[in-house]
Amino acid sequence: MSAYLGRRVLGALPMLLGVSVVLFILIHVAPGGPEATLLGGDLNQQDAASLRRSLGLDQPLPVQYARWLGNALRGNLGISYLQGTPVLEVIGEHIGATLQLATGSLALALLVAVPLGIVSATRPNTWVDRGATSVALAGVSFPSFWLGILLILLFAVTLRWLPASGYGDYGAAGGIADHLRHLVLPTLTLASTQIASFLRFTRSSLLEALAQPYVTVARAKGLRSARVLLRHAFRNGLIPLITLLGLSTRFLIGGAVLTETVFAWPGVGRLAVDAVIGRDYPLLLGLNLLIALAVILGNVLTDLLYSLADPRIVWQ
Amino acid sequence: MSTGAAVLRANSVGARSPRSTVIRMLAANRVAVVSACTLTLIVAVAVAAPWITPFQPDRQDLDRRLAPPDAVHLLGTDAYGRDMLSRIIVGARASLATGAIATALAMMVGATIGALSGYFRGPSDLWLTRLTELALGIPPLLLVLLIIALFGPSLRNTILVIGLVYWPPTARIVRGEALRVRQHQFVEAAIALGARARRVIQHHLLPNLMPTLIVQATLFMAEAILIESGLSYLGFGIQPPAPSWGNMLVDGRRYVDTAWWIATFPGTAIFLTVASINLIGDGLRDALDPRRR
Amino acid sequence: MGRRLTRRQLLAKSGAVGAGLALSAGVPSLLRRTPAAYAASGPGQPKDSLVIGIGGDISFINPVIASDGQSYKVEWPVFDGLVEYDENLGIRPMLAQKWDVSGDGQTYTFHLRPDVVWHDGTPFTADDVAFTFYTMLDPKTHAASRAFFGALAGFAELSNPDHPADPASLPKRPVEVLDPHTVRFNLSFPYAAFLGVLTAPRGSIIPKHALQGQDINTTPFNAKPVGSGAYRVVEWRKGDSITLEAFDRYYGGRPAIRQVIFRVIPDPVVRTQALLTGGVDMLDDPPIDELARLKNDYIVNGIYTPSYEYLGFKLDRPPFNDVRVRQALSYAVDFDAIVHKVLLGYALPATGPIPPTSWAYTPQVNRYEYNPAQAKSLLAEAGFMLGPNGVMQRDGRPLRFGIKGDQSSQSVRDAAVIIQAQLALVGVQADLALLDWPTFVRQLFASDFEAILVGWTGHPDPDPFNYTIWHSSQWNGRNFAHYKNPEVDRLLEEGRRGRDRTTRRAAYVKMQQVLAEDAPYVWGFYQKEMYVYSKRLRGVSLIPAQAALYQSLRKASWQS
Repeated sequence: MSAYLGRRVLGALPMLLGVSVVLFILIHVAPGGPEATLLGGDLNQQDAASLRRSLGLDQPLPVQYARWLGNALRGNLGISYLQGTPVLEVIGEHIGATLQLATGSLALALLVAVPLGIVSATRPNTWVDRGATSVALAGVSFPSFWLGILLILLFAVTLRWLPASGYGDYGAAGGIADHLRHLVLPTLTLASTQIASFLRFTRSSLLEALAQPYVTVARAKGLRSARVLLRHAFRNGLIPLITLLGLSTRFLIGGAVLTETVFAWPGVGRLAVDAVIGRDYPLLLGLNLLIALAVILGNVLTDLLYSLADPRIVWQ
Repeated sequence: MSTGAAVLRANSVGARSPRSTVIRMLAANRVAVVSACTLTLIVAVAVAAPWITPFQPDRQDLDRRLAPPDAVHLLGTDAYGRDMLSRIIVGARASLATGAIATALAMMVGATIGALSGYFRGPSDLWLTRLTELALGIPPLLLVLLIIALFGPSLRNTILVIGLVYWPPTARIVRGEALRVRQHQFVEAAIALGARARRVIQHHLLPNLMPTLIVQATLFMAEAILIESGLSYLGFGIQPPAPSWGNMLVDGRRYVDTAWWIATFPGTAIFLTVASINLIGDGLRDALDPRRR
Repeated sequence: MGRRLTRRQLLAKSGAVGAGLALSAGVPSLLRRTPAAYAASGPGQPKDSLVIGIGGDISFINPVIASDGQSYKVEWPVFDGLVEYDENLGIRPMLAQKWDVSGDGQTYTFHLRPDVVWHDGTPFTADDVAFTFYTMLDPKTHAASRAFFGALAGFAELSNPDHPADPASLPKRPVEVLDPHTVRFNLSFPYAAFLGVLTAPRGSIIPKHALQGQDINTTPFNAKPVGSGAYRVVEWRKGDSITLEAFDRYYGGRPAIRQVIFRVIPDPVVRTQALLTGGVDMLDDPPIDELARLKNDYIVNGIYTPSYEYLGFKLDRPPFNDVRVRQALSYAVDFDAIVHKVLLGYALPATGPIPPTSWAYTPQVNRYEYNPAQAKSLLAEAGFMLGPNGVMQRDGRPLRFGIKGDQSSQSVRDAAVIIQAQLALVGVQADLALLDWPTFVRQLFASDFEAILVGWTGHPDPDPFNYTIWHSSQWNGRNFAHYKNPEVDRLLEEGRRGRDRTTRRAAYVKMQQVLAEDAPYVWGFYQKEMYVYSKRLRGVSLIPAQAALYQSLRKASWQS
């Protein structure tokens, strides 16, 4: 097992390299450059050229990549064009907000979906089952930015229970309570996109697990349903859910973009979009590298969880 | 047909139920039937679009901007005085095409890679897993934005990009399932008996994966339609004046307080289509579930 | 098993779908409430802070390197310049209390206020002024406004990217410190617009003691600046908000409003909701369609600035090198309709590059009132005939071209679709290509386009932009349309070097007339820069320049 893990981690390094190369090429091949945002639309050719030169953008691509890589290996991800501060610092300033949103919505989605999924699986095809699935479906059938604006209209504008957008109150001492109030609507919006898939997978994999021969045997032996459920079926039913959790990381961080834009939530998603639009190469590369790292770690963790949940899966 | 294959067919868990059973079960699921009818209606409208629109979808009438629904314009007019009903009808084509074709592309690529990876294990698994991880390591939306910035926003590029960027989740899920299924005794027995890889994949892996794949496909088709609208929101979607529900929804957001019909009808259309697809997938999954026979 | 789907189950399922439908369809209409319900209430904002909702984040708070629209808003209260504009575009003292101009118009001597301190307490001196402009000229600085100061002596040598000269080696230096409170500028030709380009915030001064020896493009100063203005920056939560606090030792007196907070809310709908729910007190760049109903409960104020939108062409290639084609297109496009019906009158149709608020403006120019028939006859004159599919063609080539624009600009998106339809009516086929900003800018300045729908920010003084847009020497710069007209060149030089307003105005009047005849652009519109704010806010005023309101923040106060 440890040999496998070790090999996975080592094997991840070329993957990181690969990701950075692919992205580097893509980013630089995309038309336009940072001069449009840095110098504004009133620029002239001479200033644009001198800007590109001072940023090192007139060097051939392999040279630029080598320089970036050399710095990256020493922990220096460069300075963001648009923010003027080190990339790590910029990401550090914004990652907290996204993590709050991601964890919050993941937790909320799991909290809602897993119990519903269990209930659905134990009472298949009853109205409880159908009802739960339908509600989950409703949540996932909206474009998230549309859902966001509807929630704002309902909770902020009409009911005035919650603030319309933003990260925390302004001009007055905010405090945790106020910050949490601002977190509610974005979390709700993002969670609604996750609930349906979690629910469905919990339900279907539990159903499969419950139908396995050993469950019938356990039941025949007289073990009570709950014990059977918890002890055996649940563990096996977890596998697809674990896969889904692993995938969710990527979607949450990338997919929080729309939610962050609607709610003016200062997270990494919006940062990334602005970096694409502004051609902020160091920030883009740095962001992607860190996300790739997070995904790799997530994958390794997922595999670990797989083997914990299903001892039959043996790793070479 | 070899003995091995014959043995396998008799014993395999989750072999495809006879087609008639599936259809019977589906027909009994009234909600799925209703959804299927709705979806068929929507598709029919999209196909018949050029002939059934009451107005030219691009025809502007600046004097009748932002007109609420009335007898002439059943769903009102938008910010340029264009008939909403016509635009929604024509917009169905872009949204449905994106959903269907992008999904097909993503599923094909993903399932192939995932099945090969999970089946063959060994070095191919390692490399394909690495490839999947590589692709997974780049946030999809960013990749999409970059590629569209590169090639320009258009319907064709939107479809291609969504299809080519979103295969990894499928690959991963398919691989996970493939790993599980491959553990089953009968499959190992089959291989021991000399069944060829392609046969095993076709007759055992894929049928077992089918329910998962179908669920995936419906999940994703719905999501592809939503991704298209998200792209429009960020400005990278289908360009004006071509209508798609996504860019209509985005244009209409500005008027959500004053001319609610501009965003609401495309939003409802998206919701109906996506919900129908999801409900059908739900029903299909139940019908195809071997345990429900 | 399928039989088990009872009515209850069906009900449950369709109930959820129905709820979803109701939500997506009904909520917006059912939940509309009039703003009156909110105007009086609010989450109890303390009366000494002002929260402003803006649509994009600031890049840097440093006037030398950041002159984009959003950064201006914050730079204005934080950094002062030598002079500033007043409501009538007269020049008013700011950090300089008086100045002398030499007889030949090439030497400006400023006498600075002795009582100015920077936010960190250090006294302001002429050294800061010299530092600011030498930094601006340095080619390593990412200075967007460098070209505005082209009249300074030694400009070309000092800003040469390959080997910038050492200021000590120049025969005449652009900036000289005569004593701690006197600074002199030397120009290479008499440039009457010089005071205009020195105005805040473009010409605002940065502190030498805080920036010397640092790389100005990346210094942490840009996030925690030290300025000389009425407000200082106390907190910047990137992507979220910037908080400014009144500076006690401001020479003009401490401003009445203690705190000014800029909140970044990119989505315009959400931004409006923030105003309605009391999350912000002022809206910058409000959606035009909301203005009608906001008028009842808020102050809706706006002003025309030198910014205008236009439909431009690549002028050195067919078909746009033919003036009849350009005039035909001018008759075919009805910007009036866009102004009145889409922009709801919050814009003014343009007849030339100089705004009606300018002293150089003349209405006596050739106008192109909407006239599709005239457009068609002009096209016929130019040799076009209606082709089989409704598109005009000449020598077998259809009159078809691409219009490129910035997809993030709402006004461009609105206008593009309408213009395309209007052109189609006279047989011109225009294909829209709305690109993202960096791509668009690259192609603009590489002259890689046929037609463009874009705007200029402009400047209250006619010279800085118009010279660089129309002069034939500027093909590598803003004259990417490749316009060339010796008469216009001559008039631009006269306007640039003219010593008094009368001479300059005469030159610009003639220029407007020639340009109107020549129709290098289809002139679009001047959009009104709008603001919406609480009725309790007093002392706010607008000047006819970009980011019009922010100059008056230091004079604003809350009515008690």
